[in-house]
Amino acid sequence: MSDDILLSVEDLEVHFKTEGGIVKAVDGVSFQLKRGETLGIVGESGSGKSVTCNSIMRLIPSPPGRIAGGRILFEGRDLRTIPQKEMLRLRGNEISMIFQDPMTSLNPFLKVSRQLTEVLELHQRMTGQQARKVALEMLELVGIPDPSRRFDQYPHQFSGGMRQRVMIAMALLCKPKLLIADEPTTALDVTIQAQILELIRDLKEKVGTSVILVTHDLGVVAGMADDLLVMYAGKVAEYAPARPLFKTPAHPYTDGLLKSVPRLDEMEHTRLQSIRGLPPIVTKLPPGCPFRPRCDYATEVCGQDYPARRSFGGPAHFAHCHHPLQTPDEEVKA
Amino acid sequence: MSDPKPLLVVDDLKMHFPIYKGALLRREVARVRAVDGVSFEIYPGETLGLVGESGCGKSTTGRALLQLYRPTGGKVVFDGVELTALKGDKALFPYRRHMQMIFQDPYACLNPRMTVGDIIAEPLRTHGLTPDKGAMMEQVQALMVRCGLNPQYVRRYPHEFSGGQRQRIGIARALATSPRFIVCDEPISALDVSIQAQIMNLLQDLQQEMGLTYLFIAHDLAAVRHISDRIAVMYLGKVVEIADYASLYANPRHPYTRALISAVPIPDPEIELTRERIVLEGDVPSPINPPTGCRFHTRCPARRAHPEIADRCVNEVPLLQGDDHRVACHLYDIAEPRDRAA
Ligand SMILES: Nc1ncnc2c1ncn2[C@@H]1O[C@H](COP(=O)(O)OP(=O)(O)OP(=O)(O)O)[C@@H](O)[C@H]1O
Ligand SMILES: Nc1ncnc2c1ncn2[C@@H]1O[C@H](COP(=O)(O)OP(=O)(O)OP(=O)(O)O)[C@@H](O)[C@H]1O
Ligand code: SF4
Ligand code: SF4
Ligand SMILES: [Mg+2]
Ligand SMILES: [Mg+2]
Repeated sequence: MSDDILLSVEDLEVHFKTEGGIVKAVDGVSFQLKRGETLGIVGESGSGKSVTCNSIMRLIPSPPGRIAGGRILFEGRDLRTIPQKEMLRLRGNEISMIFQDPMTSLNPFLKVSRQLTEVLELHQRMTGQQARKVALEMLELVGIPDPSRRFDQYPHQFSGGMRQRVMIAMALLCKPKLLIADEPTTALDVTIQAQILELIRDLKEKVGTSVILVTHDLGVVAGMADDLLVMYAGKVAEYAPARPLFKTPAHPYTDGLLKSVPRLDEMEHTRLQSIRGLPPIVTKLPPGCPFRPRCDYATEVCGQDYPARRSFGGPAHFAHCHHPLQTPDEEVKA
Repeated sequence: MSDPKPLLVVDDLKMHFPIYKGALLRREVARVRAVDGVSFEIYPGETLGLVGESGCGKSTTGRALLQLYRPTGGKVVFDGVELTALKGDKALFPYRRHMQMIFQDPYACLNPRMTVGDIIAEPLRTHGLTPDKGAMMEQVQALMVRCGLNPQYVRRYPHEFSGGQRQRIGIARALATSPRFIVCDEPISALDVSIQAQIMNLLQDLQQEMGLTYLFIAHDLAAVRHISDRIAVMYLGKVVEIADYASLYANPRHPYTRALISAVPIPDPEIELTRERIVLEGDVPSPINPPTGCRFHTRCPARRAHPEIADRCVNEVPLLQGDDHRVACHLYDIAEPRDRAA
């Protein structure tokens, strides 16, 4: 089993020290990612999506942050415990990350050509000329028109969509085994988003990269992800392959989320079923299930115990809920 | 649903922003043609959606309608009164209370040093609508309740509220003067998904109760389609297509509308798997130097497929034409628009 699993996150816990107390930004998150597959992570603002991704990259600022527990197994090795030098090597070669704002990974004062070739010279020990050739090919691959002319320009001379492409090109130069994309298209227009998503799909096929795609747009993951992780208040609400997640969600939050987004293909104007109340304040979580204040199915037990993990039609689909909307398999211990 | 007499008529609206150079001898070196000849009308009680990509001129159109910018060309007629012909703020003042705006970033437009109560009451004071303090407070609290805010929070400050709550404050303030027309400029884009639905429902309920007329601006076509009766699609300062919400989706005519629709992801893996995707090449050109003829010609897939019109696309500006479903594209000049739609 373990050979086709590229990444296995087990019981990850990340804490931040803040004025309001300890924030459990990620609290017991587990998932596995197979080679060549895409995992989508969705959830509201502050639910811990970025912190989960940053933990994998070892990019949690400390202080105030700290990985307080769990394991992050990449090809069987725990990224929490490998030496920093080894982590740096992995980060350039095997794991790459792209962000919502491309300027967080592009240096505004360096020509695009330099930023791309540097990675190759450093990590792949290429000569200047080899690197230039490979970098140009990559720019072409991500759809920069007339790449040789644009090669020696600075990032600010590119439009938002083009910068995003440059960042993707940079992230893919070393043909990473894992690409983490944190809201890569949130700041972009839909037609440009479509270009970028098409590009990621394409590269996945050609390079065989596994992808973690963070987004708040359920439509984006519907077309991209094999599996989905729904987070709420730092915890896993539900995890499932895309089809059952969209068709037969077990967690009331997932269900509510799906019903609250307008669909372009809705036939008539219907009223949206919104989730009532407000997103949780992570420093003031209620005991028991964090979704309880907004949940229509809540009972007394929901305010007392955190719901154990239950699976639905096999271990690939699970949720944490006392009163799931689907019939659970045999009760499993959390 | 449309009343035969429109509440708002927009005719060939233009909003050009000059770009100056030089410190002493300031001279105009170029113009941003942010809105460049836009026409539509909005009927009482309806929602007209305005979609298009970043920078295409949606917000500028909304502001020019409300005379927050004085248009550089064209006409805006509100309830029979030509606002663009009125000179000066004084002449406009009596109309302002009937036309309000809700913004994308509720935080940026709420004064951080004012209490929520004062923020909502401000337009009432400006327009001299409530004489005594007690009645004012009552009215403000009623507005808060109506917008889903706890009236006990009337003395709190904006930073004590979440994004969704701040948007409710912005809505309450816009409603204070009992306006008839509201421009909603991306009112949900900055909110969490689960909160977006709450705000859309609130806007719909208020419209029903108070007979409001909306211009709903957003780049999210699914949201626009959900809330609008009719939709206008903008590209680079122009309206390229306008139709009722159902036919715009079922029967889009403009090549840009088609691409836009195909680019909007649908939250259903099975549909996503089999959908036709039109991926446009390149970026939106600059409104300072827009392409000649049809502004979409640099990216248009249909132009490539129809060599017989390719030259006209570059040289001739297509006019918005049709009755209920209007489109500006040379593909539809030749035959009856309806025949070409199939
Ligand atoms: N450097 C930090 N210091 C303190 N708290 C932090 C820090 N970084 C993140 N957090 C907290 O961790 C929680 C999770 O944040 P995270 O950025 O992972 O959310 P997210 O799901 O990515 O949200 P968004 O959709 O807004 O990007 C939040 O409550 C946030 O306040
Ligand atoms: N006051 C101004 N002075 C100069 N140019 C302006 C001004 N306001 C807007 N513009 C320009 O006009 C064009 C249209 O801008 P506008 O804000 O109307 O677009 P939009 O469709 O609302 O975009 P978005 O979706 O990003 O909000 C843009 O190119 C913008 O840079
Ligand atoms: S555990 Fe209870 S409160 Fe939580 S989601 Fe399930 S039913 Fe709702
Ligand atoms: S007029 Fe020509 S370029 Fe413009 S949308 Fe129609 S076919 Fe395309
Ligand atoms: Mg984030
Ligand atoms: Mg705008």
